[in-house]
Amino acid sequence: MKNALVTFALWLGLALPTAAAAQVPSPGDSLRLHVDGMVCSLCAYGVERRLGKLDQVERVKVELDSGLVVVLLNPGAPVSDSTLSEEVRRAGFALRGVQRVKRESR
Amino acid sequence: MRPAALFWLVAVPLAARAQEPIFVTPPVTMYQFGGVFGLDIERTGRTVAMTSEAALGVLPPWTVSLQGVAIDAPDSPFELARLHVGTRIRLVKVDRPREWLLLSVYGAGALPAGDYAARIAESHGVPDLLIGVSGARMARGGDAFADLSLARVPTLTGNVLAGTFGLAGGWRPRPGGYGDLEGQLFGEARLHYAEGGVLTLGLAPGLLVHSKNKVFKLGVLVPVLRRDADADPTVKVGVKFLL
Repeated sequence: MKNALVTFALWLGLALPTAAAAQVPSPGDSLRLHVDGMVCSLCAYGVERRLGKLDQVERVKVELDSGLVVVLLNPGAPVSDSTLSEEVRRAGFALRGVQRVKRESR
Repeated sequence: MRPAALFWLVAVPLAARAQEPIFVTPPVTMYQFGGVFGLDIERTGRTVAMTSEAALGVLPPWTVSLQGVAIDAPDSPFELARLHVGTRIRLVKVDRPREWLLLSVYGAGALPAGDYAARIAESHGVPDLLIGVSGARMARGGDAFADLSLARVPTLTGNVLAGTFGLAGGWRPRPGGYGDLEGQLFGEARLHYAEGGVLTLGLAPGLLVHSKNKVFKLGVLVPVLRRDADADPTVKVGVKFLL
């Protein structure tokens, strides 16, 4: 039991900072938001405006044909899925999924 | 000119932010804290109505607006006829990939604007109360809209109740990318009925051109069926800016 606790504490100590670091974007990291409902520039204008106001966001690019919103993040400023979902909802649409893209993997 | 025919001239549009038909009211609400300013000019015969509007998205499904209608007619100078406060509430929204289904209710009521403005409004059949329900299916290739509204139209001889049913189909020949200048063609039909058996059916071709936050629209509503009504073709141009 004591060994198990020590192992768990070690895992916790190692794993948590790693997980947190994964949320902090590096320069060039971006998000690919799958947004349902967008059909035209006028509709999607609110998405660009709402997401663009977030401190963590450097630039927003909307791709209407694929229903994607590509968000370039400011380095060191993590943004949660729930925040993204809320902003997309305030823009009038629904967020179907978030894909986090590291600069190296693109 | 008979009141119902005059109501044919001035409907009460409410702000929308997406592709919208030229004459049929759309169900779209503004995004939260998003603003829009619009100006429409309609000419029917020798009478011109100018409608300016500002709207704000309070919540994603709730937009409020303030609208002024001014009229220039041969027998009177260019004058304010009505100030309306309006609201639109989205009841149903279905988001699918590149498809949007919406159903909203809306309403508008006249604010006091003085006796002179009231007389102008009554002379030209501008409604003081209006409620309606509007739905749409919007997609990349085109859109379909339906709208039903009821209005109380004060006239010099008393109030008249009027109903309007509109259908519109929009076709985007070449859907553009985000921010690209994009055109959309509309075909619209508007059936108007007022107390006393007045009936008018109009058909309208329309064109809407927009970038991501600027809209220009042009349409001509041509009466093809009239019963107890004088209704001339109405030419409408409008611009809109999203803030």
